[in-house]
Amino acid sequence: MIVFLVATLTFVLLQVAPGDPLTRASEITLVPQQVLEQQRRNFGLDRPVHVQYARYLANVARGDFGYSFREHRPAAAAIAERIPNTLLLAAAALVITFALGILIGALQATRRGSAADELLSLTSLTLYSMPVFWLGVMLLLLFGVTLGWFPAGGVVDDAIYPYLSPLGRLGNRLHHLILPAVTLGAVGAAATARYQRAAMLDVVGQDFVRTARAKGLRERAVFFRHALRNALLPVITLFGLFFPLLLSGSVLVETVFAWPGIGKLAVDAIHGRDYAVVTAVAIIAAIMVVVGNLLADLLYRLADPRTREAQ
Amino acid sequence: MKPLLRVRGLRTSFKTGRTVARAVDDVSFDLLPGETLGIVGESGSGKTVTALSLLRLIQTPPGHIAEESVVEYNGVNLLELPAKELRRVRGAEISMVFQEPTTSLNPVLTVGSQIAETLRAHRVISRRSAAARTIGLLRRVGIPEPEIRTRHYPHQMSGGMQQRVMIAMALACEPKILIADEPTTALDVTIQAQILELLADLKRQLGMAMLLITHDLGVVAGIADRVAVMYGGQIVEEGPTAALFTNPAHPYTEALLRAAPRLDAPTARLPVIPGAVPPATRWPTGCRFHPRCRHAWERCTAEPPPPLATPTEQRARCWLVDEPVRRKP
Repeated sequence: MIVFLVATLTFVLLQVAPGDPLTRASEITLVPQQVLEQQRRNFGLDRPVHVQYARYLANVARGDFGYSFREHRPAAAAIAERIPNTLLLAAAALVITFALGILIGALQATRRGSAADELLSLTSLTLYSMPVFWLGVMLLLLFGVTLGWFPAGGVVDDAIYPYLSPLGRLGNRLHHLILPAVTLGAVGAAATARYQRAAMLDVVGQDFVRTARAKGLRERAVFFRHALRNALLPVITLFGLFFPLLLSGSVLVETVFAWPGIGKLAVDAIHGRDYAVVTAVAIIAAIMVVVGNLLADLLYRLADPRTREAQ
Repeated sequence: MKPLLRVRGLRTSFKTGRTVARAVDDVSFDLLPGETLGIVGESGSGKTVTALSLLRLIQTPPGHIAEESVVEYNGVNLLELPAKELRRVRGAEISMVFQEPTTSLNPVLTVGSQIAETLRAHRVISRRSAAARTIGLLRRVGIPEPEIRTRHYPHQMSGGMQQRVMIAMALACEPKILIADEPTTALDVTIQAQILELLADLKRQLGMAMLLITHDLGVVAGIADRVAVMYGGQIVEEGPTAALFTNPAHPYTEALLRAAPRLDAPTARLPVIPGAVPPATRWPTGCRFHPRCRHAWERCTAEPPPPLATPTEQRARCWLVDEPVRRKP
């Protein structure tokens, strides 16, 4: 349902936007009018809108996203080539978001009111309110350009990559991954830390934590086994919410760091009015969000026995 | 007989903003081996805070237990014990059952694992034998099909069953003292009687001492050997159950007994105690009960009465013990 809505909305937006894939070509007077007409007919762009829409939906349903005008190959092929890069970046950012966010938030809760807690709260608030692309540019300037610790963009160093050992290749990949992943994960980590801190403070005041202490458990067991496990529940719901943010963020981050993923592909496709690629990216993003939410729900069921059905 | 637990001058206060609430203010009592001491009082009288203070389960801050307070168990002051040694007492020597079983159990862990956890915290015991003992404990507190129930989560059980689980957990290491803080308040009336009976039975079998905290005089009359009545953060009267019920020395005890519904002497309307419990931030001067007391005279407003021994083996914080002629009929 959501996927269908996204497919339709993308189609409408592209129809409403001025120009078509051949606009650029028609601006070059050298291209004969006849050729342009021929091309329009080939791609079916001369048909009425509703016919285009029906054909488009039928194709999408069959998994055929159409032909990319810019890349001169099926849109699906262009995306398939880019998607591993985006997934890698998103996965790394997700790990940073939750690992760092949960750790910092939980630590803050145990040292509530301390100088470290105040400082971390201020930092996370600042990060939380920062636009992703700006953060990306700043990190790039500082660590990529001024300090030169990290490469300024790309997935690997194309010039040396083929000659590296397997371990060297992995290192080269990771080296390129760090800055964009940190950029994409930082905002989420800040938000998670704030949630985690609040959830933790809420849980430590509850009766069952007192019961755990009254049983004579170590503080470590009280903290991890009893408090943290329950405080994770509200954060798992965040997991589903972060998926769309992660994808929209990856469009910006991929552009800033010249990361060849589907985000950057989408930006290039929009500039070139490459209908097939734009719609395909939108639909795949929609599918990823739906899958992300499903994953969050499953995770929640796993973590909270109360949401499981009674046997 | 040497007391198992000796509490002297216990004072617990809470700081809220600029005011200090003296929730427990100079509470002293003894608990003898094997006896049941009932602590009775209204909401806000300080009975729960007293119970929590014994094992230092008060959140500090905002809570604070006065340095000179003494909670002596086996000759050791628990209030001065390092955290590591206090942990060996909690749940093993002295354990607690709380008022709300639903919120006192961890919702994301099975009841079996929560009981086994107590065993493993205090005994060198394998996972497997802890699980086996857990099933035995569940059977002992009257839970049917314990082999299945041990794998259930708290939300899959009724309130009464959850409280049985709490009791099984508290008894896992066969403690010398069980502190039961309003163990039946959150339960249905029919279940209340079952839980109380279970507690009394287990206490007899294990020979432990019990501190039973309740606002219900009927509960105390049924199972306590001795009773302490709390008002305004203090024990205002203490003595053997029978003596205290037949000859209440403190006007507050007297008024409480009169306000309790009775089957043998039905009255059209139950008498009430005029006024309300004052807030713990502003206790009245002198005797804390004097604004609500029908016997009060000048001395009561000026001098706080210490615990005074009565001819019938009670101790009461009331000047009437000193000047019995002032007692109105």
